[in-house]
Amino acid sequence: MDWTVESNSDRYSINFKDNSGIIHISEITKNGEVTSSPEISFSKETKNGRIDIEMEGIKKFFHAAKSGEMWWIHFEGKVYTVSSIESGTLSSEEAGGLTAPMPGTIQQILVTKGQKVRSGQTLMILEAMKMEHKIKAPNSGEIIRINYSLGNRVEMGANLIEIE
Amino acid sequence: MNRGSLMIPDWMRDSPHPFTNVLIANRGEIAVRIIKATREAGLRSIAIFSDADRYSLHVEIADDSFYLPGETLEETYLNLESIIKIAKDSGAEAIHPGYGFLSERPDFAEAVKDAGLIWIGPPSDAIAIMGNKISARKLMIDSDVPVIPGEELEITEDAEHLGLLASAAAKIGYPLLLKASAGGGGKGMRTVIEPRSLRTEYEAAAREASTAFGDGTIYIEKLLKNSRHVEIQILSDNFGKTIHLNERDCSLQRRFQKIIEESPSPALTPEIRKKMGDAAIKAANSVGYVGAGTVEFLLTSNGLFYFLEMNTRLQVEHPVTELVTGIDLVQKQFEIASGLPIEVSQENISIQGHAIEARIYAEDPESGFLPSTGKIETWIPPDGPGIRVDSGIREKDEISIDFDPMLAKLIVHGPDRKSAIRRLQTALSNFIVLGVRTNIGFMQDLISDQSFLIGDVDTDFIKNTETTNLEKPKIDDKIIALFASASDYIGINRNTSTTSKNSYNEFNDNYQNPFHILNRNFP
Repeated sequence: MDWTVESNSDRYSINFKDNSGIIHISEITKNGEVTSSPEISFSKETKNGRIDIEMEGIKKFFHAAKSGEMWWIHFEGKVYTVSSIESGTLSSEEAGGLTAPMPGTIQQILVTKGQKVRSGQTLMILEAMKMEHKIKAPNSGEIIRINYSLGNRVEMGANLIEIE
Repeated sequence: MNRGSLMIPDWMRDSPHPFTNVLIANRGEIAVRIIKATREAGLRSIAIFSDADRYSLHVEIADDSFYLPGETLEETYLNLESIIKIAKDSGAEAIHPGYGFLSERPDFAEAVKDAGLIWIGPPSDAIAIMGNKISARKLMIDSDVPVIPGEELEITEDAEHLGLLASAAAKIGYPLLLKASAGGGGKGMRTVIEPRSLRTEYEAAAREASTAFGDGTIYIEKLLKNSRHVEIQILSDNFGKTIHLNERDCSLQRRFQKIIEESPSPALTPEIRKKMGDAAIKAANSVGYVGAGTVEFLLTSNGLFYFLEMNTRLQVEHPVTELVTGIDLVQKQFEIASGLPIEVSQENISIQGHAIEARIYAEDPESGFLPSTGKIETWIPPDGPGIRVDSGIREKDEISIDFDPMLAKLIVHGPDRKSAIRRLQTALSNFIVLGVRTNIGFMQDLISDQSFLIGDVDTDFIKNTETTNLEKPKIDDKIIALFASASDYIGINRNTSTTSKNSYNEFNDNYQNPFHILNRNFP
């Protein structure tokens, strides 16, 4: 399994060894190459999502939870998300269409199919929680598809418009 | 046994209009807050819920609950006929509207009274006058309450509206602010820096106002730079007595929405506090106000203040006032609604220490604060002395786009501002929410900023301070990847404790927590 943090593209692969309830790192690779292992060991005993660790000689802890394929980590007041990807596969970043940055309702469609648009032009207005958000063209081009119509409710990540 | 035959509580024995059954026409954290207050006051609570809220916390803790059929807000929480029918059928004698939804709808206040029920709120005409920002401005001018230079002209969309708009804007001067007459909460509000963006900003404001309030009427105000948002909490009874409970400073805003509120304001001298308090009382009296209300002012850097609007309801940030004055505002609302006089006198309202509220939102500060959704996998709110968490959320709840993205209010109280900030910092750092992105990390950076620490922020602070400046260096990716990988290796997702954390445990299985009793620490 490979791991990527937030939206960064570095992929980590980590092997552990288990020593009577304490877990140690045996090897970390970053983008396929072996990298140095930090001085951290983990306790196998957990409660309510809390994992106790020893980091450079100091006992600390973090909280973890899994949601779908995403791991959520709370450490020293901050939250991080980590995605797990089957080793050797490509991440799901796909180029092309414009996706909904959040779930919402299509409130306005300002372009039509076949229309030429310039970079930065507002194409659509999405409304969520009574706030408006503009969907803008990332580059100049021609609208080849509009996948939703006025008033449609869309999920986060929905492919709204395609530009060529 | 039918608990509807509950005895009238002691404190209500001399009331001209006693009641024991209160329907809470709301949901989420404010419904939970009011339900807890009814329990403490010896009253019975009746909750309402739509399909999305069938398993919500407010339904779980209410004495009784009733289903609101329908899919849209108009069919459910905004449906006054159906709510009043439930109130009648359920034996409710009073209705508390909370904030938002129907709380500032004069027709609802009227309908509640017509149905022979007690309305826990101000008279409908006071709501109507203050609800229309244009008529409120006019009344304030007549009552000698200072208002922001602007134009009261009503701009509705018709053939000539653009011409009227442009000439009014020219008269006031740029930069200016377009505001929805029916507005609030930053919706339908736009800044216009220069004439050429007037038209597009007007159209956006009008559209947002129409969606949010069903009224696209817009008016214009001069934009006062470097100003603070300071509001006065007032209480009025049925005998013409009005007192104020000091100020709340809500200068830390994002897109005109408050995110941090505190009391006392670091910018108020006793003289300004007195003047502002008197102006707030004047504003309340001018509409014959009854109940709890808030008069909002803009305070400029040279100590002048101007009336912004009056909110004729309980505010989101009311706990801040409760912590520094020791007065439970919801209990006071019950007392006033039952016809009791306000016993406490203005001289006896004091400021004890310092309180700060942070609004915890389901949003992603790193993608422009877009609302985030999902399932709350882990929810561990902080607790301890001087820490209050008002929330309608519990672990494993789904956060959808159906409602406001506010998850909780974290309110801290300390002997002074410095210790309150320190307490808030620790409480935020210990507030563990996993599964949905929140602004908790952003808040920690925000309140560590030097300008906030010395109390020198205005309403543009967040906009003017690049979020990148606010971000501290993060832990190395390698460590975080390691944590996730180790969690997976240990199998933490299969390892969660077998005791259900899904149920509300304040009243039963929480004995091991030494601060448990302090959790119920309002006022």
